[in-house]
Amino acid sequence: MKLKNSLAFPIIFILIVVAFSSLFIGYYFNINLLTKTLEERDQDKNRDIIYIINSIIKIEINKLSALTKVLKENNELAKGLADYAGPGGDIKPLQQTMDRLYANLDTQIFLVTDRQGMVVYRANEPSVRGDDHNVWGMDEALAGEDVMTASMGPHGFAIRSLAPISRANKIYGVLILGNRFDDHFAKKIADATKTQITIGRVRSILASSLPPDQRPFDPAIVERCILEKRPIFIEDHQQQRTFMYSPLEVVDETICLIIETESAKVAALLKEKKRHLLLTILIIFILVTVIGSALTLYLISPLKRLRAKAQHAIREFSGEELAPEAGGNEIEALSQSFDLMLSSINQYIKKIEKAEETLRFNERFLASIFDSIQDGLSILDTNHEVIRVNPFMERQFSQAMPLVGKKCYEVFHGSDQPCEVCAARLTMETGQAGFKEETRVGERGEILNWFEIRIFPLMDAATGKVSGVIEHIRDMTQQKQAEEALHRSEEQLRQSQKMEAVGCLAGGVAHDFNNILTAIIGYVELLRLKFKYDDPHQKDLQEIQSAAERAASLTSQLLAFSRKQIFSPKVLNLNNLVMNLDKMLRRLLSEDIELVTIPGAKLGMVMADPGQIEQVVINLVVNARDAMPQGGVITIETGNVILDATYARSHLEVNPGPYVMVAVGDTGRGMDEVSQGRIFEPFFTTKEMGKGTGLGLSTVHGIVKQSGGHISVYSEPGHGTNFKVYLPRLSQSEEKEAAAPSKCPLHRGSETILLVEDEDMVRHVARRLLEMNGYTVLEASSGHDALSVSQQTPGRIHLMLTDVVMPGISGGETAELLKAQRPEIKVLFMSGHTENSIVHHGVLNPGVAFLQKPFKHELLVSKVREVLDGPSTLH
Amino acid sequence: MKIITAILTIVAACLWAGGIGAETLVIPGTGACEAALKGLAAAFNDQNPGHEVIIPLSIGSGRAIKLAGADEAMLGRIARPLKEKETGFGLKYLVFARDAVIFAVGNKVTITGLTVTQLSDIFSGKITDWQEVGGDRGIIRVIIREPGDGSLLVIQKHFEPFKNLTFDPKSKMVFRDHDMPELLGKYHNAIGWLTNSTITESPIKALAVDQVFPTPANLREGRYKLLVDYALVYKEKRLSKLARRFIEFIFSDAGKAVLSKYGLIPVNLS
Repeated sequence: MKLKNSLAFPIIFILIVVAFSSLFIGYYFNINLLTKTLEERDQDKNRDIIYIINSIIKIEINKLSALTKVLKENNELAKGLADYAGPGGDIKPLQQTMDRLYANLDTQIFLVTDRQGMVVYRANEPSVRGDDHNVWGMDEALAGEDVMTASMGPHGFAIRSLAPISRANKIYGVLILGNRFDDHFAKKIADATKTQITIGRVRSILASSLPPDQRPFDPAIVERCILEKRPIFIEDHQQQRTFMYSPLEVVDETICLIIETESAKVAALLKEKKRHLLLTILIIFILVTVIGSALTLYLISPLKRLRAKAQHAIREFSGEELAPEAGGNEIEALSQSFDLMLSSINQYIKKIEKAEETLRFNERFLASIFDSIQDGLSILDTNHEVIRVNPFMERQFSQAMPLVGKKCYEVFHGSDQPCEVCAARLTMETGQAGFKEETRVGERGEILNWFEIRIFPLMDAATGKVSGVIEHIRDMTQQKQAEEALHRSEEQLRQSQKMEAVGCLAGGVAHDFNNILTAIIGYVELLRLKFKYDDPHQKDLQEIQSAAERAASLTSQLLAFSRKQIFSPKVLNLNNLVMNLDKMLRRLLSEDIELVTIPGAKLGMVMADPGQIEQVVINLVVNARDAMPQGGVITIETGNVILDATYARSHLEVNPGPYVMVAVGDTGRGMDEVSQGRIFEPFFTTKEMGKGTGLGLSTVHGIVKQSGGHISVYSEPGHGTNFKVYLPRLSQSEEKEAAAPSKCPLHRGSETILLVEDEDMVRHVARRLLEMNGYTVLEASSGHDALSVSQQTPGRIHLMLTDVVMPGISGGETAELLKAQRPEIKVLFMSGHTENSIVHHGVLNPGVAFLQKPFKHELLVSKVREVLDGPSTLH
Repeated sequence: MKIITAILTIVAACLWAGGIGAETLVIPGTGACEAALKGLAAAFNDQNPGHEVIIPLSIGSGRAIKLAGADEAMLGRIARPLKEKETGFGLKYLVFARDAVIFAVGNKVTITGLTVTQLSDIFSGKITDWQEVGGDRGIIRVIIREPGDGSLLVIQKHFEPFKNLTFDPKSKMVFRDHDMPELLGKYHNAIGWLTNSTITESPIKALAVDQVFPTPANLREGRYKLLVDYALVYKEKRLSKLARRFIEFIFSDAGKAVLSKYGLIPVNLS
């Protein structure tokens, strides 16, 4: 900053100006006042002097006049003068009188003249006689007038009072009294006024109290002051004296009083005072200037410091250097700096706000991340105190106590002592991440939760030291459970696959076996027709038929297990089914077994094969019976249940939704877990050898699965077993769609039936049974053969009885092709399989007639009749 | 209220205007024509009410010149010509009247005239008694004026012996015009000189000089040569209307009449 721009400059300048002005004004007024005072005092003194002198002179004049008046009346004086004036006059009496009178007078001039004006007697100079005292007024006095005059006389200028001395009206002489204006008089006045005076006329000095060489006298000034009738002051610079020339009227003369005034002294005093005052003013000025400048600089320096601080703040806040101002003083610079600083601060504040906003956003973001993480996060300090936890941790662990501020071992382990082996402490000590698995156990010792805990050191960014740990807690419970469920599911899958494989095997075996059984049963029935009812062969044939029927039952169970059994669902009320089975079930149970049936209220309907469900119930009751050799209670209970998603997650094959439950429970010996895991395996049994086929529960399992349901078992050794079968509950609309059961009357007939069967035994026996009942039978061993036969048959073929699964084209395909030739033809399918084009998951298409092999003669004939009598079933 | 205020305002304005219009003219200066000018002023003031011309006591011609030159006086009355050093003031010198300088004596003096030589001898102190000039015995009391006095200048101008005359040391010097007649009246054997207009009722008498009395006829016809000019000094551009009017009055007939009344010889405005 240029000096000229500094605030100090104008301030100091103003200070100097103000100081100078003030001091000058003060000096001026002071000097003027002093001068005026001194001059006035001097003038007053001079006036007083003039007045005193005037007064003295007037007093003198008055005195002289009064004395003259008195003395002129003095008889002795008059007589003495008269006597002297007479012939032979004697002067002595007059002298004596004069002397005596003079002794009491204070006048310089005291004389008497004769009538001619000649001095007769002069006081103090008695010997001087004949002096012509030709003074002004003598003529007038000799003429009888009292005259007061001031004039030059023989001995100088004097005031004289002349009075005629008369006696008897005759003037004998003149009495003259007077005082001279001489040096003595001047000294007298000087003593009285304490002032040296000089008295002069226009042309000469009359008297002075001063030595001759010191007497001031300027005739021109004298004349001027007399003419102008005013005092004139003259300075004698050489002698440094001032004089006042003042006119003074003395009777009829105007003289000039020259008084040495104190003007010179006053002037000298003033000069001295001025000098002192100027010096004082100068000192004060310098002091004021210096102090003021110092003070100004001192007062301004904070501005500079403030500006420097502002610059520092600007650099700090904006990183910019303050641009040098173009001119301006400290305040302007400071103002500019403050403006910039304010701007910088505002920008910085905005940056901070933005940063804070970003920080808050990041904090919120991090907090949201922290809180959103579905795993647990907890932060511990080096004292194992919980600093922060996320909501997961709160949910998991804050039921008993708040977490933050507590010790980790207190919160997580319920201990008031640190854990002996503490992964967190190890991490704090080593700075290495750690890992551990922990479980939370319930009151009964069951594992409630599995946790994986990863521990990371929390590093202090400033010191680089471990300031705590971050624990990442992952709840592995679901995973574990899922793994277990998966394991179970895999087991179940393996079990299912095994059972599927077994089922397929069983199904395959059952199918072929059914064909064999169909032939055996058919031929036995044919044979039995040939013998009379009491023929001894009938018994053997009956045994053969029974055996074949048992074998058929066995294959039926196998098919049911393998879910290959043809499923003919109907809308079913399980309460009714159970009630219908009640009598039969009781016949299966011993007297020491109590059967309790608890039907559920407002039980929903299910879509299931009634026979199969009966089989399920029967199998479960039988199983329950066998589990209670000493008797017990079997409970059959039904009810509406909801299998939710949670249940479904742990049971893979279950779809969440409403179900109808039928539960069969016993109070038997129960099963362990191992047994529970295997009970649905085919041929698995816990009974003694020969006491069971091991297919009962597997059959139940197959039927339930085929029905779209779910079965579960709950058992504990010694505490009985409870089987629960869940079947999907129908909605009300679905209930209404259930078809009425069809009747199947038994009739002979004469229609033409095209029999298509690739198994010769089955075909032959079927043909013989049909023909036995009056039907015309056309045989075909394959689909193509059937079509050929149909083409070769000109007449009507009323019914095609065809196996479903055949080499070449299937029965369904054959039916489709035949329908094209013979639209009116009816079709009855028969099969030991369900995997065919007309059977989807064991369910017949609506309207399709089907005959399960092996079949009896009666079932064959009735079914044929039913189809022939019914509408066309192939769509 | 408004009306009263208006009236008062108008009255105040008039008074103020009147105050502004009323002028006062002070004419300081010599005492020689003081009486005459006072007469003129009185006459003029009578004719011009509201204005006032003031003739203060004598301060002398020289002072008046200085005051006029310093613009401290609009007009000055003087009884002498301007000195050379006084011409620098830029003053105009306007003679408005003439007055005779007469030698006068006290009432005890019996002579009626003197010659110039006698006068010079008397004033120089050579002749000290009236008896020496043909009068009764009596000490001649000489009364003189200050050097530079206008009447003295006139005497010195016309009477050679007075040009370098050293006055009697015993003479009294008076400095004001009215002092001379006063002393002449006091001292019966005194002699002095004064202007004709100064003689009022003082028991003094004028002397003939070289047998020429200062009669109006002698004055008019120039036989008596001792005439002093009374003039006004001023700066033209400073003259106020009042001053101009007073000057006009002086030169008017009325003014001249007043001048004549005081024994002055009026002059025409030139």
